[in-house]
Amino acid sequence: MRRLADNWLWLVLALSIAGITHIVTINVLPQRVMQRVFTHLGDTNSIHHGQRPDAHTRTVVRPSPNMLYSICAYDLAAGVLRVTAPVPSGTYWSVSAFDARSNNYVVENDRQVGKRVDFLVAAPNTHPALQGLPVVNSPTLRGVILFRTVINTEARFTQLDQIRHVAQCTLALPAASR
Amino acid sequence: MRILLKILLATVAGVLLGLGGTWVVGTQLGLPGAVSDGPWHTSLAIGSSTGGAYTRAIVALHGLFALKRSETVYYNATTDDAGDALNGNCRYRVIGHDPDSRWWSITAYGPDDYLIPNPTRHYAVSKDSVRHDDNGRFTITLSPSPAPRNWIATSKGPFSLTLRLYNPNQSVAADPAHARLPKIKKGRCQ
Repeated sequence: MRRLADNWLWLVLALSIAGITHIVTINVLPQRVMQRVFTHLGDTNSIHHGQRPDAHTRTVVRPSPNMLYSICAYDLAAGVLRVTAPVPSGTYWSVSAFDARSNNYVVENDRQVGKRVDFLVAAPNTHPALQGLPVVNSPTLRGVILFRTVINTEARFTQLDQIRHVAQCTLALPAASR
Repeated sequence: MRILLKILLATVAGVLLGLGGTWVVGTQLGLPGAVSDGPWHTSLAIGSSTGGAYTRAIVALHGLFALKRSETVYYNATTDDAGDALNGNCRYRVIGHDPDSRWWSITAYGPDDYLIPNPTRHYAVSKDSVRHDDNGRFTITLSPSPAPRNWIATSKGPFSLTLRLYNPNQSVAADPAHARLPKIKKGRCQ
C-alpha cells in the first residue's frame, strides 16, 4: 500500500501517456490506412484497373467476384484532376470519392448520371474552371476515386471490362489555377 | 538519475499501454452499430458519414471504401439459422426470395476471408444467375461437391457468407435489420 502511494505519481504519468497515445493513434488510424492504399497504388493522378477477383486475389479481403474495381489515387498538390468515364447500361455502376481520412464525400451511380461522367476534382477552397465542367472539392489534397461495375451476367463480362478501361484520371490544370 | 529512469519507464509503459488499447480496438472489437436479421449481420456504421473517432477507425479497418446504405448494404453470416457455425463438412441450402434491391449476390469465403478455390469458379450466386422455382423462390446449395441448378462451392472446414444488396429498397436501407433475407438450413454432414 505504501509502495503504491509512493509511486502514484508515476502511475498517473503512465496512464496519462497511455491515454494520449491511444487517442492520437485512434484518430490517425484512418489516415494510416489510406496511406497504405496510396503506397500500394504507387502512381498518383492516373487510373489503375484491378483484375477481376478470384481465389488468388489477395489485394483486399472478402472481394466480390461479381465486381470490377478501378481506382485513382490523386494528389491535388500537383494540379486539378479530371475524371472521365463512360457509364455502362443495364448494370450497377458507381463513381465515389474518398478523402485522405477515408471519408466518402461523393458518390454517383449509373441511375443518377448520363452516359458519361466528366468532372474536375480540386483542392479545398479552390474554384478552377475548365470547359464548364462540374467541380468537386476534395476535403484533403490526397484521396481516392473508386469506380465499381457490377458484372451482372457472365455474358457481359468482356464488354463491361472494355468499357471500364476507357475511364481516365488525368491532371487537367496546374496547381496554380484558382 | 533515478527520477529520469522512472520517467522513462512510465513513458514507455504508457506508450505500450496506449498502443495496446488501440490494437484491441482495431482487432478485437466488432463494428459498431451491429444489427441482425436471422443469421445475417450488418453494421449501421458501415458507409455512414457520422460517428466518432472510434467508429471511423474501426470502419477504416474493416469496411474501407464502403458506401452509404442507399448504395449498398452488406450482410455477413457465419452461422446457419440454428446458430451453428457454417462448416463445409456439411451441406446447406440457402432458401428465399430475391431481396428487395436492384441487384444482389451471395458469396462464400474461406476462414482466411478469401474466395474458396474451385476449378469451375463457383464463388457466388447473384440475381441474374440464380434460377427460381415456380413460386419465385430460389434454393442455393452450399457444398464442396457440385450440385445442380444453384450452387456455391465450399470446402471442408469453416466458411462464411456475404450477401450484398445494391441499391436496396428504401425500407431496407432505412432498417437493414428487417429485410426479407434468405434462410440458411443445414443438411447432411460428414
